[in-house]
Amino acid sequence: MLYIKIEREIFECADPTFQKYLFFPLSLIIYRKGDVKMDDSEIIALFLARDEKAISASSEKFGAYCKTIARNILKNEEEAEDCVNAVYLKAWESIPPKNPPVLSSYLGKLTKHHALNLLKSSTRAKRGGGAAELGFEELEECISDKFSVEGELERKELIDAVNRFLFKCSDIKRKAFVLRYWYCADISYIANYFGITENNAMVILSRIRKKLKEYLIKEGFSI
Amino acid sequence: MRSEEFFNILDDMDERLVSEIYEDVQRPQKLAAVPRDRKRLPGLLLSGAACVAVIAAAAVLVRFALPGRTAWLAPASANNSGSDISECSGDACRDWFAKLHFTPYKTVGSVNDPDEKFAYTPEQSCIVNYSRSYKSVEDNKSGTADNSTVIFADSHWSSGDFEIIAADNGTVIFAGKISDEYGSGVIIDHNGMAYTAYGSLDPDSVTVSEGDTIQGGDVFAKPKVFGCGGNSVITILEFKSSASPITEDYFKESCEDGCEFIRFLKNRYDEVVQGPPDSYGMHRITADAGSEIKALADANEVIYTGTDSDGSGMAVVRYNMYIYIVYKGLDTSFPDFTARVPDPIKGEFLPNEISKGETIGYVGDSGDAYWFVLDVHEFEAFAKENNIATHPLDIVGKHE
Repeated sequence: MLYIKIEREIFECADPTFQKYLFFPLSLIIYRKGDVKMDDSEIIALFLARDEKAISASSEKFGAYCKTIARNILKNEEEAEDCVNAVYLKAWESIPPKNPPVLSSYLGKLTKHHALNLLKSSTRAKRGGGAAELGFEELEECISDKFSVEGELERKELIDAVNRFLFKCSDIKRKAFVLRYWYCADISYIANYFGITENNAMVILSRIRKKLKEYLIKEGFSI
Repeated sequence: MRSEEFFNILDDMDERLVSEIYEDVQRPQKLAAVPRDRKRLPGLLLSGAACVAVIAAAAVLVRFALPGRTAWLAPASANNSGSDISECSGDACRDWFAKLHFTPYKTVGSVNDPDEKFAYTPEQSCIVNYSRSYKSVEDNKSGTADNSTVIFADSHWSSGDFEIIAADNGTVIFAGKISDEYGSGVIIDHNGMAYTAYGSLDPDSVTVSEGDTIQGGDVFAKPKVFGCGGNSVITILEFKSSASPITEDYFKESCEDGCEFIRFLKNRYDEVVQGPPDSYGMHRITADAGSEIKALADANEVIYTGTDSDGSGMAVVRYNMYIYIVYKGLDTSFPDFTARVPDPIKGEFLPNEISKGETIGYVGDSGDAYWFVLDVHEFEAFAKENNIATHPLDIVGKHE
């Protein structure tokens, strides 16, 4: 089955009448729905029923996804493999009682956290690598040491503002930001993803960080 | 705040932002990548083709946007030929681009900056979008830079104001009718450097045939008009480098989707003609109470079914990441009406897709149902007014 994805740009640049009456896809991106695999709910049900098939089903459906995240962080195929296996175990231990509504996201986060913990304890991190490669330092451009969020409410306000900002961004900026700071993708991955040079990718990220800072200030955050 | 702390906060980024690239991320990257050597070796050709694409886009943009003014454009063969490009990167490319005298219009972004690729007329009507990223139908690859699509669309002008010009010198390798709805198509081979395909042309207006040579800037067709809230024009141009020449099959593929797209717009136009929307863009559904209301399009998920402030039924579907369609005035007694939104307690999970034509609900007792489209920003305000959770996860329970 073919789906048509409608890009946002039309709403950003068309006149208001046009916006109200139509939603023209200015850029049609056609994609095929992927192979049908076990549904998330079915996998969750296996976890809940303590059926070990849950692990193999998760591996089949989310293995490549989790491994990419682990590989992005650990930069080592073997460690990434171990990390993902550990994640399945963590998922097995945590579901139930947890019942994640979006399993991909849940496993993705588990992978990310576990890989980051592994990285912190690894020799590479001790040599000073790791964090810088993952873009922690780049984020200093967005936020200063003096700024702090106290409590869950402020944290939510901040992430909501970041979300609003990203929704307003162009396709490439938004995806580049998410790839870099959520999926921990390195610059070369992002460059390859968009078919652009690494320098170009760095410029895009730099611009979006700058704009994010401006946006957060505008939103009232004392960055 | 330490940057690492901020990094951790970003962990809670909106689910839609993360899942948007979920499919791409799990794919081995070599599939999505442009081979570096391929970029370097014929980089001249590829970047040249990209530049030709942008310039041609801008050329047709200006031509489109200035009905009646045709003399300003220098002969395209003089400036617009891919073979004249000796280098197309960095400042050299920008300088070359600047020579083309597109001064009446503001062009946002530069040739080498895929970041922003929009050209605006002084009235800020968007009629060109140059997109470097794409996904191909054949192999589901994405991210290559040698393919771009430019679609012209406007809701105000009539077709009589426009003529389609060749983007560059070349040879016509295909000219023919594609379908009644899609009109005719023309493919021009630009000396093996690039190919341009022009779709949705008025069949009666095409003046070229296969084997003809054509000069850049020559008029060879008029766009096919189909109505969308006025005299509207949409013409689709596809640019490809010589690495992936366009063949007639392109139209077969794009027709499969393009025709569907045009049909969709035409249906919308018919509805608009039947009853013009009010100032909020609402489209009345003139039908008796109990009439079935079908989904207008495939949508990613139904995010809300319930009542609105006047107690009548309302359904909200998220068409894609940014667009929501709201159906109001529905009958709340429809047994499955509230079953559309996933209930995690019952083991239902996202995504909750709905297909075009699937039943959304039934016209309520008032017989006054309507639908309208909101973008994500409007939807935030709308959701607040109607006490609708703006995020699907807000409805099904907080993600941990």
